[in-house]
Amino acid sequence: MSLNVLMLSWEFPPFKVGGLASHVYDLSKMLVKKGHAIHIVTCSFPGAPDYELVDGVHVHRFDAYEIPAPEFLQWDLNMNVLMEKKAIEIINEYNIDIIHAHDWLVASAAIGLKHLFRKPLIATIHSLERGRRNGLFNDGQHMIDQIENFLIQEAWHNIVCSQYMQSLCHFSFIFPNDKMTIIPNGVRYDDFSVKLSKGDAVKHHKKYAQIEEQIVAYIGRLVPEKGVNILLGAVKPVLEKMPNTKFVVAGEGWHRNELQRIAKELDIEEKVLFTGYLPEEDFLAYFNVSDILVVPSTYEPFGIVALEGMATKTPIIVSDVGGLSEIVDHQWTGMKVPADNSQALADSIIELLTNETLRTRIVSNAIDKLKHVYDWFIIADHTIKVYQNVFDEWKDHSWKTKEDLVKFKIKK
Amino acid sequence: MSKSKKPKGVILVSFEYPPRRLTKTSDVVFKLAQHLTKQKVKTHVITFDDWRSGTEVEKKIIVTRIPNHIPNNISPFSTIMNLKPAYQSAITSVLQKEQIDVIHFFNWQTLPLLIPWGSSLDAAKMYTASSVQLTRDASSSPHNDGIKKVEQKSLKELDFILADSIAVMKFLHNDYEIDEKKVLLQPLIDINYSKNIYLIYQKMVEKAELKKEVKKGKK
Repeated sequence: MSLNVLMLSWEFPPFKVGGLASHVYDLSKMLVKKGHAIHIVTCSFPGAPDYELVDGVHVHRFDAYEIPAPEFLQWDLNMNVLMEKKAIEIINEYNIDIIHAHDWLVASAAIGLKHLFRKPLIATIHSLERGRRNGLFNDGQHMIDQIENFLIQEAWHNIVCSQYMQSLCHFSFIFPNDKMTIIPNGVRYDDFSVKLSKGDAVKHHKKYAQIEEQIVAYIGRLVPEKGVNILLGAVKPVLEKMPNTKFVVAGEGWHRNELQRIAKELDIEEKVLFTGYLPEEDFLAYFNVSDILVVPSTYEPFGIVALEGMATKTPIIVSDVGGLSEIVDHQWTGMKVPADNSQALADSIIELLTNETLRTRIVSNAIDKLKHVYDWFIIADHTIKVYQNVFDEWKDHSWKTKEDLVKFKIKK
Repeated sequence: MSKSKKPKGVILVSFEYPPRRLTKTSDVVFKLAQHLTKQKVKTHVITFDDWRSGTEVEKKIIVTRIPNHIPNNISPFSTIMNLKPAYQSAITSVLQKEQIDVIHFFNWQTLPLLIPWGSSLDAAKMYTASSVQLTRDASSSPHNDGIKKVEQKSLKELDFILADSIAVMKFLHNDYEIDEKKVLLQPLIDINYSKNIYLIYQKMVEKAELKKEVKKGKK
């Protein structure tokens, strides 16, 4: 059965803040390919059309800045009433079966719509504030935590990206596991499998390191939970055994100055390059010229960057935390090291750089796992199963508007 | 008055209701609810309380105190926006079960839900404006301007506004650009407040019925 789904996401490409926009884009595109109608309500940005069809996905935008706000959290709450208004127009125009909300940022609109139309609400919980901040330390963080809890409780069913996230939701909010389904994130691995010509490889390698140096790469936001300081702690032990190694840190974030200060203090500045944001055209080449990709996070609900590394055939080393633990099978699809342990990370880097057989095996198995687990085609199938189950449950349920009670012949 | 003009059901949506008293509005809502039940109008009060939630029948008035799902907030403004879904849930629970002819809002804190829901609610929508942001704090800041914008956008969704004072009425006309025909002066301290409001409800029901008949005729 083909379903009409309304998705709420505050970001959608080309407007991207985090990984949410890409997730919503990849998932919705695949759902359309499988015969479902997807309508996305999202914030507008200068020059964006109010409506456009993107790869078959209906994208409806609204002015999210109409109500002034002193800061981001208040802006988000104000944005929600405007998003809800826009969504009502869409629901009234198209025969929407399911409302699908992505994260706490759209919770208020999603819950309002659920009550007005009495349609089933599905929420994807991409991460939790208490995990992102490693605790809750101020009113704003407590507020977000409570909104996350409210959304989870109000949803008919929730989707989480890993067993770790399921467990976090379960224990944080005393929430039953059977109201959550684990569906991982995906990666468009075909788009990542670009092999550079020898000339291009040399050209790009030179951007980051001397030609004789091997590259140990990091890419991502520079915030404490990403654990770049742990990677910096591994630099000296690696250099002692393998002096021809360069450590490259790509990305930006408010923690950058502190990280650069640590690099200076450790006297490793010459061997560590902070690139800042990578230009879009350098993104794939960066993976291609890297010998190892390190994901040293201390908190990671999923860890999509690990999938990107696997897709580019770069052997990966990850912290044994959160979703990363589930993506990587140790010494099979990557290497796992205890979180917050620079020496263990250094040992693993050395092992991988010196063992070509291990690298080859890891790369081959990783690609295999991507095709069988993290393909958007498969992820869309899992999502459709959740949609169908929820819709079937709702169809037989008396929680409906008066009109739907008649339409579905439900006796009160 | 003919029987058909009497409202069958009314929802009073407020931010205060006895024993919670922030302004004089709390007792005005209570007295109005009492008056309506005496007229045999099924009366719901949907309100907020600091320490309790749930539904109970008090002197034939059905009072629902909404739960506060988000007790930690960054400001009073965020508290108000975070209460919206709870008001919405309580309102639809009533609308689903019975005929409601009028939804009457009190306190600006109840208004945000009207921005998305204004045109989706079939009942006549009224608001008693005892103040506006410009009478509470006229200074310009993102916080104050945000509240003003919330008021502005929600007031446009209403069928009728009762101003508590001439000052408020002027602000509604001049700064909020509300159509003069939609606004009536009705002070909260008027001893005939409840009676007058009931008459207005009757007129609104009459108007709504006429509208329906015209629609039917067109069909």
